Amino acid sequence: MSPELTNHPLIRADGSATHTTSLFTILAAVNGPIEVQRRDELPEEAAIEVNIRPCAGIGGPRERWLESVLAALLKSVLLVHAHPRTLMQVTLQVLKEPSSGVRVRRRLGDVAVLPALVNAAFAACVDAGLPLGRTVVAGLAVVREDGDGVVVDPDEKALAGCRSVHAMGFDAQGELLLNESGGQFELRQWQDVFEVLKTTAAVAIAPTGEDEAMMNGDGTPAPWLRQALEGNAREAGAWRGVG
Amino acid sequence: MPREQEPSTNEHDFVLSALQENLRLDSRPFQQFRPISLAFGDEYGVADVRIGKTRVLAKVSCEVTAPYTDRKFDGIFTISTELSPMGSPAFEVGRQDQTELLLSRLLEKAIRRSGALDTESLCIIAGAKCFHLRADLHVLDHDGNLVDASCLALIAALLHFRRPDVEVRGEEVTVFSIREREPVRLTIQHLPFCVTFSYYNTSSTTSAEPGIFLQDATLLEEQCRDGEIVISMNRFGEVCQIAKYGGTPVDGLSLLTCTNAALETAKRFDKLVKEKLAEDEKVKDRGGLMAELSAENERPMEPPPG
Amino acid sequence: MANGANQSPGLSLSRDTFAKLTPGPFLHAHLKQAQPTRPNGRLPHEFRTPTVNTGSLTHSNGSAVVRAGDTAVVCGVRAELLRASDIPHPPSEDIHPDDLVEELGLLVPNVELSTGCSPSHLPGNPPGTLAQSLSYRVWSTLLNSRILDVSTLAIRHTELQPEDEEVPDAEPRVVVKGYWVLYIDILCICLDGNASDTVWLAVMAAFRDTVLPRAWWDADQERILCSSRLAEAKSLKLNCLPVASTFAVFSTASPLKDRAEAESWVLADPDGAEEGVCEEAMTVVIAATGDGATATLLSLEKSGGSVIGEAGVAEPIEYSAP
Repeated sequence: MSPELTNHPLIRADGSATHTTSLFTILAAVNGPIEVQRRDELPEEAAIEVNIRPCAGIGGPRERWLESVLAALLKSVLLVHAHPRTLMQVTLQVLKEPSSGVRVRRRLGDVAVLPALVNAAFAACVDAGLPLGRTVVAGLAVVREDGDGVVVDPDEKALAGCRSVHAMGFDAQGELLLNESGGQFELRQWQDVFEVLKTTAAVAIAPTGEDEAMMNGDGTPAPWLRQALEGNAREAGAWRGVG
Repeated sequence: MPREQEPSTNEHDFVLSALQENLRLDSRPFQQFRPISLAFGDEYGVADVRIGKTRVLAKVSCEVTAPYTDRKFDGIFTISTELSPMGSPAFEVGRQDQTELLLSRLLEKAIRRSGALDTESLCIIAGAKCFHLRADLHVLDHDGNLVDASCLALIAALLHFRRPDVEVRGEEVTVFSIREREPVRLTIQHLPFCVTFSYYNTSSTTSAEPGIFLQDATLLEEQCRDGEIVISMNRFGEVCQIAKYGGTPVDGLSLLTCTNAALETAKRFDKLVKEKLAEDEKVKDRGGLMAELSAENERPMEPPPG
Repeated sequence: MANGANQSPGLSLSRDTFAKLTPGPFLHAHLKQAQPTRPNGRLPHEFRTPTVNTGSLTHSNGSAVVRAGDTAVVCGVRAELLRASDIPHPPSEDIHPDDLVEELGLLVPNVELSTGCSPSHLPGNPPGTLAQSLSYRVWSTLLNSRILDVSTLAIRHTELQPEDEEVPDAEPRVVVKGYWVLYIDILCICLDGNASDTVWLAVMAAFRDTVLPRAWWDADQERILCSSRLAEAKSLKLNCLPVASTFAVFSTASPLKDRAEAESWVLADPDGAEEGVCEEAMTVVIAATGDGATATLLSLEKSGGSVIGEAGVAEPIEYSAP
């Protein structure tokens, strides 16, 4: 199932987006640049605050860890020097996560939510019009229990029975911006996962060309992120009357 | 930590003078609500309520735990209403501002204290095991009237939720997962709904001419109001709570008028929730186990020839 | 050491002033020499050698004090009993034994940074994001490594079979009556960069030092009893001994400059000053299986920039493997 992106579902937030994958649905809201507390103020750059709200319950150490990972990533993606002494506030709400139909080990499920969070946060930043220095696309892959075989975008069952889980974020040039891997794996397996996810990310933001679409047919995955963002840009500029 | 942006003097005066002429900015009658939509999630216990642009999500979950020592025969039911910057930039994480405080207090009184949920039904073994039912409220968009939307979402989520089935044999307890046995509905005694009235004192307010009372105020109308009254009642006309925290004085007769108006709204909410639940049941229910076990082929019913 | 400031007459900064005023250019000046050295005298790939002292806390089942450079961490392990009958929701029968440790919550780490260990961590505050994040990472890596089998922590009891005529030779049933829950408290006494590696090392050292008393189920008193004799206590059986290594990346890249002009260096085991100027960091945890096979990685975390790519990941792993 190809990931979906909905644009601007919320009114109050400066920018918002909903991201749906086969495992999770995340709603992201971005406010910024806004006023910052004196103690968090940075003289030369914008401060970044990430809040993650789980579906049920209030956040704990797990959410704080996810927030720190996401904040470090966003710092490398946003142009923080464009708005010094301000705050970029990102709030993420998990609307749907794998229900307890099949039992997923919690710690592996925690890494699995990361790509969805990253993609949702990025789309919301674009919607808010924050100055961005790079594009980031994140993908999720697991290595099966038997050690062979990489499954990209796994479903609940694959996630429950995997040996290690990997979340990676790439930018448009294919450089690795984020990597979270957990479980038991070897360097060779990690490198296999790296190659696969790099290709998946490149596909997601590949420039759309009509020839390619006709040649590839229905089998290959579509550049979903580029299509979603280009669609939003077209809608936003529709008032100009230019095609 | 920005505060909610105050409306300008022009906006404020415009709203008030329009109300004097019996007009609201979106030309609704005073007692009419904005379009309400209620949607349920795929899993049990998730309710998404939209009243106009205000959007609230309620999620109910449960786990087995030990009951409080001073209440051995009751389960535990908690409501959590942590507001996040998503609903409005004025909400801050970790700091409980007035909106959040009032919201949690009102929901506490309306739903928990009124006994809407029978906590004794959550008990498994007295003093040893019980269900801890947790209701989480997420405010996704704040455009006024959070209390009504939150209460509606919570009640809908509680009605929608199914808890795992339990079997007790002496000291042994078996909690069946959703796959093993059909989960069970909660025991809800009655359905309380909150209705908020915003009132505005005009220059000609006397006991003969009461002030202006609005239902379902938008954020702008809320910021211009002189006070509010929150009434919780169910469709039988039983009042669960009435809250009037400060604000300019209101005469007693107006309070009675409001209560009567609230009854109408409560009945409408009740009908809406039951309708949507029935729709959702039809979508989810594929006849249950009996339909799966049936050996009959599905044939379209055709009239006999001739 | 060259002080790097412009040599205008009458204006020269001492080394310490330079380091405090502009830590970024100070580090850069060190690294861009022909033989890059860091201000603390280490080479870019050199780790600080830690000193470990175990058994210093008498009231805990295991303890360790680890000091690496100026970062010092104390870890204490305390074992408490959890009766099987007190578990509110016993896990289902079909759960894998490896997952039981997670399901029952038998390992509870907690990292405390609000001890005044550094000016940014004042005592008395509730755990901030960094402390909670570290606690989570310790918990997650402990479970990923499967370092403890649930059988090490379970207290078993063989039930005496009543005289049963139908099945006279039945096997006596072995029932788990309770578990040991390990509360792992980690306090940072002094923080000078790289808390995560030192914290992990302290936990490992404390685990090696931990002994659990002999415990059994007394059928007459209907409770679990423990022996206080040290000779009967046994140490924890650890399946592996993972090692954590952290690397920071110092880079002169900036969105205002050309990407190709940027220079970057990977620094192993960053200290406090280096951590402050480095945006990108990577942590890798390797489980040493001991038989010389290809190292098993347990966790690989990297964020904050794009300097470390695929090749960049492999290199530091080679360094940290031994």
